[in-house]
Amino acid sequence: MRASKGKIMEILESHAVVMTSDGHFNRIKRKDSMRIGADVIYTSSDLVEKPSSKKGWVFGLKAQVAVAMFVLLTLVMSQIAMPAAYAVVSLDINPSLQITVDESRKVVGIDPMNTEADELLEAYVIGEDKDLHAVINELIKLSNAMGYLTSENHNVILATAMVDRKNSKSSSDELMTEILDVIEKTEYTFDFTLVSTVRESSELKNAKSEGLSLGRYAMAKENFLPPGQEKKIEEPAETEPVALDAEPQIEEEEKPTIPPGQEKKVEESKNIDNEKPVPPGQAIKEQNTPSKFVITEKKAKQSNDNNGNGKGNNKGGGKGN
Amino acid sequence: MDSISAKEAKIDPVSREVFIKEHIPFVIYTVSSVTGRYISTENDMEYSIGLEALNNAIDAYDGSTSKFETFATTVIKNRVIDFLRKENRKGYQLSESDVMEAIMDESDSVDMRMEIAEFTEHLKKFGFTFDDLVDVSPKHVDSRKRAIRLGMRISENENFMTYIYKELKLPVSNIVKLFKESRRFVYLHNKYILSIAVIFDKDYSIIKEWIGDVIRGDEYESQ
Repeated sequence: MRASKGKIMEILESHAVVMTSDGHFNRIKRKDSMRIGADVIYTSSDLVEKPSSKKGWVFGLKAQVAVAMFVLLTLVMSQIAMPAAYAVVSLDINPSLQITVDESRKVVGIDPMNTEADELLEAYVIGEDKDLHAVINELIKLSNAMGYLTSENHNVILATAMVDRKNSKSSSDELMTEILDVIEKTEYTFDFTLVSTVRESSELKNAKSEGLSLGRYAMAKENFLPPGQEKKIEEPAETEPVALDAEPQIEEEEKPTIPPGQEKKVEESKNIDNEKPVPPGQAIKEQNTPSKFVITEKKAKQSNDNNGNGKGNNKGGGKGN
Repeated sequence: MDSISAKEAKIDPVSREVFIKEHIPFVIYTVSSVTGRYISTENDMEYSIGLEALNNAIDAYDGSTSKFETFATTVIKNRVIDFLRKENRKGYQLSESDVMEAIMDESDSVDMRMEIAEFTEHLKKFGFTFDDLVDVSPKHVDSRKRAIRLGMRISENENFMTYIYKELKLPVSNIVKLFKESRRFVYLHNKYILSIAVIFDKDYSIIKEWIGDVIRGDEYESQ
């Protein structure tokens, strides 16, 4: 222990500053009866380190209050403003979107899954009520206005999944039926590819890790191409066969490489489908039983060559189940 | 050199003197912890009582019960507490000389406080405080002497001081050229050097007197 003598030059909230007679400055603990200009004798045990902030404990207190408020706000917001995700609707027109909804069918998030979806969402302003039906309607209209939805391209891959199937009051099939109702009431005509799966939450995670919407992921996984892309499959595959798992980006315009064996499988399934009697306006095709997904085609009564004139063509169409 | 034990101090007067000197910080710490105040010129009575208590503790210590410091702490604390109780009972019965001494002390301390307050305001204009000087003042005593000498010389140059008050910084290049100082040293301690220059330029006599020991020591050495 060493003793020093210093003159008190400054008294702060947490400490005082003294100047020693050899011109050195020290910070010492605050004690009773300190006065500016008084000479004090202090020991090394009275020295204090530089406080973490110039504003001392006052700032520390403010920071603690701010942190507490932030944590509280985050908790409240997570309960109020960010309701828990209940179900996911994957909509692929070609903009590939994944819409997350809460239990009351309010949209809590829309994830763009490709660049077209980025462009679409850049132009889209979501309404205040965030109702799923309204959002889907608006997205379809906007897709048409932006030229994504045309007479040549009117195929929609629709997939639904419950985030927590065990604790959900409704099923993903019910949700899909609701959405089909909404879409069919629009003025446009679509050929649908409907995707459902039993392992909903795990496949959602898989799709997310692949960076694909659930619908696209299912198509890639099950080697199933939607109606508009059938021709591409029939083209002779000159490239070497590549495992599908290694190349899941079906959303790219490039033709996917299909192993010869699997290509045949798709064609066979089509032939079988063509033999089945299909009710008018409901060209429903079921693929060979996929291991994880059930992929169903649901054609419009007639593919409309005019986007604006398709209204009513698919009225009364089946729900695909 | 091995430090002297309490037993040696008890029997040998020379050892006792050295032993007490070694334990002065210990006395200051103990007295301060009882009073809750720093030892200062205003309460040096308590310090004297602490020193006396240490001397008595050396005589009374037999080494059988505890460490000397533990024993001495109890002795010093009890003695200081007794003194404070007596002082409280005595009340404020001051003699005429006590009053005169208090007035003189107070007038000195008012001057001192005014000088420090004025100096504080100057530092604020330069954008720092005494608290900032703790971190930038030279740690080694030789460096402090060098910086104080340089500050004094700068304060004697009118052009430099005009520049400092106008630009609120040191004219580093010119100082380096004129005083043949290392640029690194001036940059490293610029706030400290600037403060010293202001102290001497504004003639803050009490502060000058306070730190004058450093320079005076140099003068003795050079003679």
